[in-house]
Amino acid sequence: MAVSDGWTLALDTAGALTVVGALAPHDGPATERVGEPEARPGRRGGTVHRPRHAEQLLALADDALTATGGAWDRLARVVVGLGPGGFTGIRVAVATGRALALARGATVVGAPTPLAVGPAVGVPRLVVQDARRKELFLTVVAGDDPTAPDPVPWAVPVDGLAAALDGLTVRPTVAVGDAAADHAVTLRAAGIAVPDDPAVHRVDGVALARMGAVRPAADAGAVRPVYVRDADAIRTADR
Amino acid sequence: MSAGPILAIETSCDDTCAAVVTDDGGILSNVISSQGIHDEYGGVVPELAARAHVERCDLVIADALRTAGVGLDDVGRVAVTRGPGLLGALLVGVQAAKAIALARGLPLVAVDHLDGHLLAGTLRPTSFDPPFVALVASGGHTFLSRVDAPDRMTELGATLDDAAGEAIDKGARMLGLPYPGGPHLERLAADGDPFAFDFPVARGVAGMDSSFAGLKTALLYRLRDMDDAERERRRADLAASYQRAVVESLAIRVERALEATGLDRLAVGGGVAANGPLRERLRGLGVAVGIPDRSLCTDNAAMIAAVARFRPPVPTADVATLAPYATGQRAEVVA
Ligand SMILES: [Zn+2]
Repeated sequence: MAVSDGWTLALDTAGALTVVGALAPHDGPATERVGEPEARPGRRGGTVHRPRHAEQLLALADDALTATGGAWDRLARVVVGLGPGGFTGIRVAVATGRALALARGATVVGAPTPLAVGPAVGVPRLVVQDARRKELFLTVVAGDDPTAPDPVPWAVPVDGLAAALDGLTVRPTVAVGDAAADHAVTLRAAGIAVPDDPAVHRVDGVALARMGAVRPAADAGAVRPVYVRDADAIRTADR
Repeated sequence: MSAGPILAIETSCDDTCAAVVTDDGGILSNVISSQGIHDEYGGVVPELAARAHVERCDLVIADALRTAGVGLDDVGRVAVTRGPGLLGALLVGVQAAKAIALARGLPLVAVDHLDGHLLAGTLRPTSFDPPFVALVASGGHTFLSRVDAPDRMTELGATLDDAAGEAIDKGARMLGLPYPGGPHLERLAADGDPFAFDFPVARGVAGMDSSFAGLKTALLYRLRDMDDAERERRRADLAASYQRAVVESLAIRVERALEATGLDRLAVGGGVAANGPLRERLRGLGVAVGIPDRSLCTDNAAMIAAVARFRPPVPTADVATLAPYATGQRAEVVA
């Protein structure tokens, strides 16, 4: 089901990739645009990938909207991936989505990012995301009923992954996410499959748009990032 | 330039601000949502500031439009603080401004926050127009500029270490006062003798740069030399003398700037402009002094709109990709 009268636009900036999905009304054309991070040499060697969400998100959105025959004045619904992910990153999608909704009188809804990661592999699946600081975000997506309560992500230390998998009450059969491949050995040892196709490990922009189109809408004020971790509240005077 | 008022957004630090301002400097609304969540940390926590911005930025914008009685159909341009400031905080306002400009087909004007402080007083009802020397002193910045015209400004000097407001906050903290220290220090100082202690004013720093590091250390040593009873007894004197040193330090630089430029007009901005003794001292300089209302001295979006009146919009092709810049960077002034 698509939003009946107008376009749905999905935005996700939780990981390194900038992902946009656009969906025309009445199950019309849908398309996805993905922006790559900037690769540059790291300070301690190797390559670091710096996301370019702020530079890419709106340009990709404009492009996706146009490619599906839409225009800004036909925007009816904005779906934002709430995270978890990089703190700064998830704010880009939420701030942009809420402002787009304000600008066009559109509805804005949020959805946890893991719901849109690897939907093609089915459920129950485990979403494993890079949380930096030697931690991972884990989310069990148990079912695909859009009216069911959202899954709750949590953070575990990288070296605590095996123990965390041991303690799962719902046994996922497959793991996806931007950190799944890095931990394939541990995951497979726990009987969880890790697909080789890199495409299933990232956010699916069109899936996010379709999901958001059927999610119940609340006030824009209720569309907030899912941080999982607290902010480092260091007093200025102590720094 | 498009007709219709300017919708301006400012999120460079810990206040979420939006305003609607007419092309001739009339303020239709100036909404400032102070986060009030940083006080217990004794300063702004960048991650907390960014979190608060994202939760309220669109609501503050809607409030500014509603208060102004203006719809997005009426708005002629969107203006936003691009920097300098906290990157994570700026990002929220910049994304919101870009989204509104793009989705409404409106021109977007990127504004430097410091230029905003320099031109805040040009708005009505102050309408204090260049040429002037401008002193901007707040918790985040302290500098002096020569402003010949709204699009022609030169920095004359800046603080070499702490901002004036920061020096006040740190001094207040040493005296056991809560954060933010400005109003508390001023109240305590009112009962003290400003000449009781001779604190340094960095007279030796040449030109129009200022420095507050020595002052801070001097207070620390004074307090260390006192026992508890004396410290308690001399608190008001210490506060008054410390405040006088900050005021004197700024006034010395202002006098040097007025002399160097030959200008006889002084604009004052930034949160420290609310300080009574500073206002009094500067008004005694014998030049025309323009100090806008407090709501235009502290961070606000009306001052961003004030600048946007005199800046060209971002080229349409660059709107979607515009990114903020952090503290320590300064946009090149468009002449
Ligand atoms: Zn400021």
